[in-house]
Amino acid sequence: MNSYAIGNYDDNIRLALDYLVKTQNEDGGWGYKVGGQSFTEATAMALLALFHPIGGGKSNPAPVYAESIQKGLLRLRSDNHSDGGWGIFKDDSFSSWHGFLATWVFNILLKVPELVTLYSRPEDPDIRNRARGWIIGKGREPRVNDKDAIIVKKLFSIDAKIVGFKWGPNPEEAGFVIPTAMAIIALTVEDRLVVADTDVVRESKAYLRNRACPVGGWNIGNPFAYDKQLPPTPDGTSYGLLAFAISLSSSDFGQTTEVLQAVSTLADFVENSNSDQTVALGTLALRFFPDVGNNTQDKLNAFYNKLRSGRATKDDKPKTIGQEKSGGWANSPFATALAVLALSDNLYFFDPK
Amino acid sequence: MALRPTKPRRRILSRRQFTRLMLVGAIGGSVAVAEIVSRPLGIIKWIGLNFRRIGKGFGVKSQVAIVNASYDGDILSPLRTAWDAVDSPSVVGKRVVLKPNIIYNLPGSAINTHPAVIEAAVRLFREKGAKEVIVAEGSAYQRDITDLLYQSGIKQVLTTLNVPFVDLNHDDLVKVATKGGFNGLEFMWFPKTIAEADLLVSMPKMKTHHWASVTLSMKNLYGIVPGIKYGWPKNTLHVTGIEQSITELYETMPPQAAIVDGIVAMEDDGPLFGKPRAAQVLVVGRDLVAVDATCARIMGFEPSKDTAKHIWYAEWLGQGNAAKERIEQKALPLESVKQDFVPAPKPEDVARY
Repeated sequence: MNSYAIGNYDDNIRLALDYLVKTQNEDGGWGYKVGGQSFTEATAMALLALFHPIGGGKSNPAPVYAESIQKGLLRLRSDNHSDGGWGIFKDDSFSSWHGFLATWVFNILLKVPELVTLYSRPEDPDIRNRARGWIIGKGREPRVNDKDAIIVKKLFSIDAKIVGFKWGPNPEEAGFVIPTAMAIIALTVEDRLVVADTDVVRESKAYLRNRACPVGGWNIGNPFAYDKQLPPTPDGTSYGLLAFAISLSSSDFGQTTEVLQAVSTLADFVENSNSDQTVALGTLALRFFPDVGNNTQDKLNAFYNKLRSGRATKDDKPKTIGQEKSGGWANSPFATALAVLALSDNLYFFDPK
Repeated sequence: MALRPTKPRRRILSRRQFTRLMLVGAIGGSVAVAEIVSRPLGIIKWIGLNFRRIGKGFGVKSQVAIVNASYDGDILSPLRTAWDAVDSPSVVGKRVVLKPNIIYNLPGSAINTHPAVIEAAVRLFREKGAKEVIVAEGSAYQRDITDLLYQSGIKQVLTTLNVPFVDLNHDDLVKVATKGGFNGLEFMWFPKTIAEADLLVSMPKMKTHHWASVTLSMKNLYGIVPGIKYGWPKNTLHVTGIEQSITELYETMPPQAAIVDGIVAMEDDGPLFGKPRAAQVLVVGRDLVAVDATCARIMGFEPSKDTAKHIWYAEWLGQGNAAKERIEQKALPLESVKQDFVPAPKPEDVARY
């Protein structure tokens, strides 16, 4: 897997992991904001961060990290539905896209030897297998008929015959870019070399290419609204690139035009962003595309500085706040977890050995 | 051999009784069938709504104020005039949530509620004695709204006035039973900030809309629906029906009022790519059906089954007054500000996209 070599940010990561331990809710989960309700997505991202070798992902971890991970995993196991999926939080009885993130966690848990030894339970492989089954069986949008496909092509210039993944449980919903990207990651991380070339993942990548904005990058999934171009957004572009980073395979014949364009688009977004979360997510995605488009090593270093300190990449570019004294970013366990993954030189969360 | 006289058979039901029974059965069966085929509304609710609508016709008229305003001048004074001109609710000691329309960054377009209008509204409600004023939005097209707040100029207003902003897409959630049953959902998950508001003020941009004809204070309520549960761009609600969803949100949510930013509105290819149209008005009222009907007429559209159907439907449901004669116009007369907006093109509806 291609990735820029990045600096040593262990101090930032240590502070951030302590922040995650402190901001864990009583029920074992994490929220999007400190003290907020626990959500499956935020809990999954926090766990992925705490799996870091500086935290709970090594032999004999500090008890605070190990206990925090145990509590978080217990939350996810308890919230797993009988159909194999997860709702967005414990009281949500309908399985939906948050299950993609939870599946990602169980795939890493079952792959990294230290994590297996310390935290896995006998039922975890079954949880993961049923989760995979839910994603493939129920997470995708239904296929459209020819008549609707023609109308959609006319209105939105997209090929509705290519199926993506949905946000919600409604069987009539359409697929969108972010859930499709998350599903690709959740499935592929189990065994990158094998899964990346499966029919489901190949079609999902075709979906992302088809939904790419002509100027580069992605938005929620509508590159056109009638005859007008709808611009890309930082979040859609970041998740789209992460999906390609993990799943690019020989069948892609190298990096595609859509990916090249998206990298430059995302680099511009990060440079011009006022949002710590956007900088964290964007930098996480950009590190996997060394020397692509305008994503140079110097530029990426500047993004890392911005992520850590909030410093603008140039005088005329916006600043952010950066890592706070508390160790977190944007008062958000979710944004903080993203930042940990972005700062990690160990790719355990994406390419577990 | 003598024939034994046969005893006349005793009837269980007389012919008349049988006919009556059949009649009652037919009526009961018809009601049951009508109830089932007319779901999600149902015949029983339909009868109830008819009574409500008829009752509304005998009730007091709805008051709607129209005032002239300009972004370059003082907006607070005309807004205060409008608010005081109608039967506006007292906000003393209350928690007021302002819900502007913040949707996309498309420079040069009149797409978002103008920051100057938000600023005037914050000042007005503080002046009127509100305990707390919060600005909240759940953008339809982006997960991280931070950059959009900066690009739209709204962040600067929030900072200057020290107003809290809540991202409704990632807020804590509360399960709320639907009151209307119009969209077939027994309950919905709503952001805690909205569910706990004493007054929700819908502050849309006056715009044309390709599917709904116009997007005003009722359609703006789509933005209170949390993205983490219903996805982006809240298309689950399109699947359950645009009119049904809009009216359900209005029926179920807390007491509401509307301040419509029609100073520079949008015509033609709305709600994203239309052209700016200087209508120079603010429209204010507490009956959102009446406010939206008034705005539609200012734009040159008469709500009906074919145009701005959700306004017509809301009136049909007895949610408010849309008929001209049932609206008491305050401040400026409607005719003095009436325009002739270019309507949005109306494509074939493939709701899930």
